[in-house]
Amino acid sequence: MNNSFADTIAAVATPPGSGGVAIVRLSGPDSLRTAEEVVRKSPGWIPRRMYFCKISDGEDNVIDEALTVYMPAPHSYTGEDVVEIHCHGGLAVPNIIVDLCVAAGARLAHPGEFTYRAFMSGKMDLAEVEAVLALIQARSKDGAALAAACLGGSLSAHIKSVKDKILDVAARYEAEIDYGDEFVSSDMSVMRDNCEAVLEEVEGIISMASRGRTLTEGIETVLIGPPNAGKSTLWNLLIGEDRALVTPYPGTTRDMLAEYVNLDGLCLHVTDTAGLRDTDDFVESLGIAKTKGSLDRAELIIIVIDGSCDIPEDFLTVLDSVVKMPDKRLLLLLNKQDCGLTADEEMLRRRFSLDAICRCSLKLGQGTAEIKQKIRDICLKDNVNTKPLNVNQRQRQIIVKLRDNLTSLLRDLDSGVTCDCLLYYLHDCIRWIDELTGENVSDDILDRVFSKFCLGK
Amino acid sequence: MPHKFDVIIVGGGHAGTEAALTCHRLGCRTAIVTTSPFRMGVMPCNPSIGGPAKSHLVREIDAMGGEMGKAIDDTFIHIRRLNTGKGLAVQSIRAQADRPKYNERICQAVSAAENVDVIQDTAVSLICEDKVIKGVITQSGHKIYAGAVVICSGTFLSGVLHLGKLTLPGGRSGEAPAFGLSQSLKDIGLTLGRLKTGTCPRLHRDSVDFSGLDVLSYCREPLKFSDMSKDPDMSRPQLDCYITRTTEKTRQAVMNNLDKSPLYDGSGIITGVGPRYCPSLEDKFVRFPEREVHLVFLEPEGFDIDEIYLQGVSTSMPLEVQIDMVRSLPGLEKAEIIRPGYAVEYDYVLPTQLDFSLAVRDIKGLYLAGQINGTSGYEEAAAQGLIAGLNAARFLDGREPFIVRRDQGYIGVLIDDLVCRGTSEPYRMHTSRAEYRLLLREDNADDRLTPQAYEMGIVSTEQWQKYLTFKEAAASEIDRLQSRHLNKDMAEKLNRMYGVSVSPGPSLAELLHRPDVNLSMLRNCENLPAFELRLGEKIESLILYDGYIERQEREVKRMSELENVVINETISYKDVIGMSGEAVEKLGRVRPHNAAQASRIPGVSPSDIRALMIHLRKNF
Repeated sequence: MNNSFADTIAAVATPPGSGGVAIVRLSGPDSLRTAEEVVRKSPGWIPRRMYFCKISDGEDNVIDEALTVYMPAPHSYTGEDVVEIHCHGGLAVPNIIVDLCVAAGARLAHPGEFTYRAFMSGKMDLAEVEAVLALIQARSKDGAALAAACLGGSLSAHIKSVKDKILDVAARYEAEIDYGDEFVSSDMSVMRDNCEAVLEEVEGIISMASRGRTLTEGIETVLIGPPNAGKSTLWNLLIGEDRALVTPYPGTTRDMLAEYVNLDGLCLHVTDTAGLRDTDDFVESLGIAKTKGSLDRAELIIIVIDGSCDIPEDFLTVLDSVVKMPDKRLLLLLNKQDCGLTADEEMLRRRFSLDAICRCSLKLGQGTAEIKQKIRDICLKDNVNTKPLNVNQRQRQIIVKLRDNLTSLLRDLDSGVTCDCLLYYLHDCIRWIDELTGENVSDDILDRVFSKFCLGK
Repeated sequence: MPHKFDVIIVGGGHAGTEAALTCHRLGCRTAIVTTSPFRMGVMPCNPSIGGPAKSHLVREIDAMGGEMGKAIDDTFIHIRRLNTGKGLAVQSIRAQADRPKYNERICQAVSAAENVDVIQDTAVSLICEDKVIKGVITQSGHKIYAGAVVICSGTFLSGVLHLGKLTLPGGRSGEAPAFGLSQSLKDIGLTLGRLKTGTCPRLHRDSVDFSGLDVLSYCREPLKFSDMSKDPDMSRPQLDCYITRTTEKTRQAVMNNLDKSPLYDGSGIITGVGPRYCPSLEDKFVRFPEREVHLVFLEPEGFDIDEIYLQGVSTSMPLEVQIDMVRSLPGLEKAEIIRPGYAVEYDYVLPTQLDFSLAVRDIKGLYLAGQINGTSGYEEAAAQGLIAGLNAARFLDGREPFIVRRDQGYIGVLIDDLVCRGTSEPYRMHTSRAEYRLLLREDNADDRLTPQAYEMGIVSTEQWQKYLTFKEAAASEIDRLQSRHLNKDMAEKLNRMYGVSVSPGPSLAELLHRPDVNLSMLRNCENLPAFELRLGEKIESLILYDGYIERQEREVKRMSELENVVINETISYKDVIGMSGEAVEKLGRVRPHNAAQASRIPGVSPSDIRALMIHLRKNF
């Protein structure tokens, strides 16, 4: 490790808020000396042992009692000397301790700097770093769990398995090329079979990634319904504040409003929409067009209907096409229960093959607990097969490149393109994978060739 | 004997002779100092030239006016294509040389070069003053002076031969090694390593029973390496190669005698690292126990000599074990060994101490080429010899060195790998080492290198004219193929003559993308004469690789952004914030010219490169 990180950094390492315990972390060559100015403890530290000690300020006022642990380089999170002070939580105490550390010569760490140092010292690979950053940014409990799973290396593990298989198939054909007269050439079907299998694996990663994405970034949710059915009331109810303008006049919501909603750890990104109907109002019709666009993106569609009167014919037509959209999760709310429901629930269930229907009065808050439970059930069910994987945009782009390369390879293979060109796609895949993990090992294929095949005349 | 030259070449092997001839073409007074003047260009190992990546190197040597392609075209006794059907980028040719004739042909080329003197002596030390090379001192005490020295010492530097327990000082079988020079290289501050390579036994042709063996036939197409050679005479006699296979008896002969092998007897006599890609038979049986059979090739060494080279049986076992091994092979039950196989260990200079012109860093005028840089193979050596000779001559003229880029030639890949990455085993060229492999084809070596080589003065006017003719012919044929569309008449003809069923409409260029159609078929249908083989390939590959070439060229461009980030020579890597200790050490040693080279050095990660870029932006 380069000693250019001459300075020692300090920050509260736990999320801000009212947790019982917070951790102040110091990292860098002066960590121990800095800590000794803050923590009252007799000299002599056994690495990785927790010491119970008092924290005092410059005037010897005791600020807190804390557990302190010293982790010398390289066996620490950052690979540098680290001291962690496990103090009482809240906003005040941890920040005072950080101030004391800064007064003793440490510098306030930038966001993500501990992780940056861990990466620089080779403690983590790039995929792991990105998982940590995602962990820091995760918007919900499920997202955090997901990022934590990735921290165990699950994206790295999936990618490693893909790379391994690509190297295997590439090595075979490379060996045959560079040792042209020592092999009976393999049939191209071996390449086809192998690449089809790898492609399937890559597609699996992509769907796990999109599942992971919905969990961390929020499941795309759209509220639709005829005008004045109560969509905006629901939206306000979900986000817990009066953001949308609610009036008794149909067509009030002309632009879309979107907000993140945290339902006990499940993150939704909810969009309120203009009511769907035929209209001559130009501004309103623009809103309706946008609604259709957001429907395409949505994973969860919550249909709000005024159950106290007849459902407008044009909305039923809209609904017919909505239920035909692939890969959507649907929830139907029959609102305005307080005004007496006249809608034919059985007819709706049958006509639109809907399972999830809730009766409610959003205005009075009746049925909201049931609605939230239904949303959770709908979103978390039938995904047993697709485990979520936490993948950021950059990582995702690279995985998509793998898919594109493999798809092109299979297409070209079937149109009779020669082996040298097909191998180009595999080399490209390996370059992207190395980019993803931050490795730089270009002898991989040759190493594989020599370890697998006995070559050389 | 004159004592003052422009350039001294130490060694007359494949590297040394290409270096000398290149200097000659640039008008330098050149001396080749060699222990064995009549063995210049000799093939001490397998009697063949070419094969994947290696034939590409020969084509590049030829595109730069070199000798190897022409010499093998004149002297081959067997030529064939490899990798047909795997694509034009990896297709290659390989020839068996008439070994004595090839050697003679190279000696003739050197003696025809009027400003090249051959001095029979052994260079034992360098004359170097204030980090400037002045010449060499020979074994007989002569001081020979020159402005530049190119060392191409092959396996001779402190060479030791192994045959069982027997160890003999030697550079090649029957030839004395060069002692002294290693120490001289150490004295000027270079770090040396030790490598090992091996060779195979030679058999007497008459003692072999070829009747039951598989035949490896030569090719009946007019194949050649050099564009400057006349199309080979198809009636020229050629010889076949043969294939046999190891048996259980062979395995036993090897495994029961491992204690007699200097490699496996635990004595640690051989410390040099051998090549993974060309293992001895001992290695093959030990490292790949699951593989029951290994192929063995019987290659003729010439019309007038009775030697058969037993390719695949590289060994350093004692002679009596070699006899058992050889006689366990079908067809060789009564074989007589003329010369046993042996292993040779030799010193090499860790090539990361060179710069990209093959000059030793910090010593003005000293160049190294060939096995001394850790490579293996005649073609690899010749390619480096040409570049080292060229740059030595350019240095004397006060010109910038010529550096082949990785997207420009296998020569570029080879030198860049050596300088950036070094090597701990004898380095052999493989096509998979070239990331822009689809751009580096046999058919376009001239497009890649001839214009620059002509400008530098190492390509003859005759060759330049031939290049221009090819280029023009290719361009106009491509134009024609793109603008002409398949008509009904021709579609019928294609069907009748070749059974290709295709409906009229597409351009002829589009048609070429079909795997069942090729250029000579189309020209046949149109009653047009066939092109010279290479020209035809050039045209086909430009059409077939169109989309891939475009993709690779985009990558080259992307990489050239890093290529364009020049690293100031005064940089102190330990001041680069965020760079790993390993990268600081490696970059400090290799001292790359630009960020692209830096990115190829093992131990330098993408994040190190990012840190470097930030540092360069901030400080320079």
